Amino acid sequence: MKNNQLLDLIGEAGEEYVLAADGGVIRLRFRWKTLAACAACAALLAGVYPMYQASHPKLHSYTMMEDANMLMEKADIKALEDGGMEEAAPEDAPGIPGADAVLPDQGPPMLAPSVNDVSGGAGTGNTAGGSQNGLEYDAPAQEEAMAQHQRLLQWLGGADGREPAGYPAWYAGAWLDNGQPDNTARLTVAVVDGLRTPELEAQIIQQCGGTGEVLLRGAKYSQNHLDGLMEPVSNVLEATGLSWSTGVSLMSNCLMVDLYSGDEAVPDRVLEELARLDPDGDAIRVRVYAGRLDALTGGAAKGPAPDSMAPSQRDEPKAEPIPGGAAQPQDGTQRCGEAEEGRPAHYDLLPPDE
Amino acid sequence: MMDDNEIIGLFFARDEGAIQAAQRQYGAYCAAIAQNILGDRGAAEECVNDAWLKCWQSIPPQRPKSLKAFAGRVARNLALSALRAEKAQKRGGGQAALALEELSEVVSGGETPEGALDRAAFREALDGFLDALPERSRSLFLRRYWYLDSVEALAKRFSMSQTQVTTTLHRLRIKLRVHLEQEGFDL
Repeated sequence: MKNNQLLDLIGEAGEEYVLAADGGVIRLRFRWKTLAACAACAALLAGVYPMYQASHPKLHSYTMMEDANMLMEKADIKALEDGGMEEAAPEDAPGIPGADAVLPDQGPPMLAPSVNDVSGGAGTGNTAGGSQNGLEYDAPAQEEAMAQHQRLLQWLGGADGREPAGYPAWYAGAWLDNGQPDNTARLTVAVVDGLRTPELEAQIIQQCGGTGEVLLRGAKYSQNHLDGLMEPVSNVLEATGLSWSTGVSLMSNCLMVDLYSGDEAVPDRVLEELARLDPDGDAIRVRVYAGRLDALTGGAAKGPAPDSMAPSQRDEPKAEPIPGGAAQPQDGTQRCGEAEEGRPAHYDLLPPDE
Repeated sequence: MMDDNEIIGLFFARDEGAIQAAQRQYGAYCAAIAQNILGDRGAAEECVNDAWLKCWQSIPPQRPKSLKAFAGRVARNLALSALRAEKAQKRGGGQAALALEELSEVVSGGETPEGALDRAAFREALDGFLDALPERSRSLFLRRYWYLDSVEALAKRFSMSQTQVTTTLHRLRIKLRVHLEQEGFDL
């Protein structure tokens, strides 16, 4: 058959069909059944998802560290008992993560880390070089950066070189960066990303004054936010029965939480609470050490976790000091800052003559 | 306005007013079909005039149930004949040429003697095919291959994209081929 024959024959189609095709357009039928099925599925999902969420709450992530018993060697404890850290090269030694962890006998070991976090809260912070406990450190030239830091604190409302009672919303911390090629420290000021403007940057640099370069860095969370996390986190951890320590790491822009879990798993409800406090999962960094804190210290050092002594941290090329923070008090132990209650916090960056 | 029975009555009475009445009633309808096929307004009007003459010759003895359908079919057949007479147009533009190309998918292209084809059986098979189609698809098929509407016009009429129209028509042609083969037609 040829196509023109077929075209002719199609002309023979029934009149009723031909006339109907000349009528109004037949619209697609609205598929109520399909719509109803989709709506039912959506409603089901909308109802089921919250139930699923309720039964499977989000847990905060954590990093499992090595067996804590392996982390503290006798030599390290002996060094602490001797009150000296001479064996540890200053550039390799970290500051004091979990800053409230102190050794009552000796006070906080003061080292000049490669990077000084100067914006700690109530903790010991870190020295910026100089002399502590009779130890001399070969700190890089940082007087200019320290002076800039003092002016910054003063601008923010701190009197006599002390930290102000509160920080502006844009402020995410400041520290000395000694990792400069010329071995000269630089003051680094972290500014919350959404609030960072050229005008603010110019103002910060102007207020810091001096001749030294001020480094500006973006950060997600303000110091106020991180400081504000400490109390609720502490409340959560208090109830766990675990040993723990917390501290704000300004350089990492997070609250560090170290948990010493023994041989037990970290309770899910703790991780749930932490996830609730830190929905994005990056404001709180949780490290879990197996083994109990008491086993770590062997009685030589009582109190919260001296995790600065952990070799795993010492192995880190640039350990991050976490000045400030609160640790769980142990029976018969002294909590950092408690002995000096009523006195203003002393900051390591104060000039040596103060 | 006269109804079909009155106009057909005039045809039977051999009243020349029948043609004028039919022209008033269905002139535009027939002209649209012819224009779709021929693609030329003048040729379409001429074709419609020929269609009324053909109706005059056919009624009586025939008494169509629907004068509209009858006149439309006559106009369509005449327009297709006129198109074939115009060889240049046969090769070139016009919806008929495009529709013929499309229908080549359905048929083999071999010669089928006119006498060998049972037109009544074919009509029955075709109606069976149309009857089995959803109303919208049936309408789309006839608008393309009976009225020879352009794909663009169909897209507008049926609120579809041109691609959707082309795809739907392709599926309908395949269905037609399968149906006619099942009915025993040698395509």
